[in-house]
Amino acid sequence: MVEVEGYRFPDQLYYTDRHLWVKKESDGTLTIGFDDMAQKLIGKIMFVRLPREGVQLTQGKDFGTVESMKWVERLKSPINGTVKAVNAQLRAKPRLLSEDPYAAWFVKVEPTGNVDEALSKLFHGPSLEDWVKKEIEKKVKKGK
Amino acid sequence: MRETFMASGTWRLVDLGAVDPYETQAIYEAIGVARSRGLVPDTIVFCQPRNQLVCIGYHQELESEIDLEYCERNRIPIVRRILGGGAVILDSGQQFYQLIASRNNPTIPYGVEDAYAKILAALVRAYRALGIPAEYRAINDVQVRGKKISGNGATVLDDVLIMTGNMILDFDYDTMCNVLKVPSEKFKDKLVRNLREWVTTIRKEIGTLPSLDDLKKILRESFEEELSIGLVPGKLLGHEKAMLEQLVKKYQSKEWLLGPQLEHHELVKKRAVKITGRVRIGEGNFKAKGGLIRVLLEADGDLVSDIMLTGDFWFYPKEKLILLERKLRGVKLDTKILSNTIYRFYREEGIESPGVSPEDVAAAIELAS
Repeated sequence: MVEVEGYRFPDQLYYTDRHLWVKKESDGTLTIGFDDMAQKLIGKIMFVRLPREGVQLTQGKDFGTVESMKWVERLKSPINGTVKAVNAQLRAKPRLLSEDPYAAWFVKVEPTGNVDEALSKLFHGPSLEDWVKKEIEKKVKKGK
Repeated sequence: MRETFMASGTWRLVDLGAVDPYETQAIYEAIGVARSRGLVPDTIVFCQPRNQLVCIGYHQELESEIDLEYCERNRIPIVRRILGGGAVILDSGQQFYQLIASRNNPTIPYGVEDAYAKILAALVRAYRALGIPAEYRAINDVQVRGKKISGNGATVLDDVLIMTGNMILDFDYDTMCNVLKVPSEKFKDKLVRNLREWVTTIRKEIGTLPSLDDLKKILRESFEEELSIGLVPGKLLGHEKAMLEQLVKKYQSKEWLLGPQLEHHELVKKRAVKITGRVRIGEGNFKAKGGLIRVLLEADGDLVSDIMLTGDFWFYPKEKLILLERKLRGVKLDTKILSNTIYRFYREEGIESPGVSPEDVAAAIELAS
């Protein structure tokens, strides 16, 4: 676990610059959620809108939205693939994203194309701590 | 694409004056797209709707929020915005700002609360310059002695923050209440009284209205001061106008207006198809004391697999109705279990639904199953 100034980032996960986490499951699917910094920056989430099962996700394109305090944030897919499962619990209990961001996943995706290449573009491994520190400077402390 | 316009302390100010109702929501998206491509600098737009419109939030359910018949009868267009929040009437009694800025701009905080605090400070400053003791109230409110005097919302397009809001000169309380779907005249009267009590205006606070030119000058200076930027007057560019024209068509389309109801589209379509196997679709209408409850249900075996609740009953806060639908997915079609689930939801979410008890909703679902 990488922890910097109270922001927690489990080191087995992969992270996007928009602060989604991606977990490589043993069956080859990828699980996607919001990381700790995302949920702290956006605050109390009131709405979550996610795709249905079977929908094709495209890398770099929006696959859902969340809303907090009249602020709509778009979820950008880090990979290509098909949605195999949607966390329907979040629709009724979006607060789960704040309570435990690494348990409250958005979707499970069966990836297509070169998964390792897609994951190699995400933040992971030894460079994670440096990235988190830079993100705190760039996003948490900016403009205050 | 490489950013041609880097984030800087010099922004563009585009004063569009009075604009078409659909354009009010398309302008900031058009500029947001241009900004994300680096084609224009960070920008603040000033505008006012030429004619009245109802503007609904990105995640709102159109039919459960808005009295569509009233809007049609009175020719008030309804526009879904890409920002969050609730339904509101917009008109020339409100002066709008639309802020479109790269998230790389060092002056604009990244997080929701910090960004609202910094940007809304400009509105507070502007109101104070008019002699109105406005204050910022976390997370996204500007108030005067506890009364709301500005509405604001935001979204992020690629790496561009879009925040818009208003300074309220005058407010049409009656039309605001008329466009909202409420179960009775009695509730409407109560709503008007509440709005008059808790939403104030420049006219109510200082007894007169500043000229629009004076108001915009004050607002401009307030943004410059609070954001430490310089605003240089400019115009929309050709590609922004072309994008605006395209986007207006989107905002006028039924598909866009229906928006989140797409979640129910498959369910609605199944009304017309033959259902086989375990899955069935049913409709149920239950007349409760507080109004008619309509249920469209998809059942998989003895479980609710999808459900849509409509009708003419009062349910407050309205936006929670969709959450109740979601809560009911996967619940067993058993009167007691349904009633308990709905009862717990009412209690946990603080639902007020006079004359419609959890048992009534459960009964309507039973009728549909």
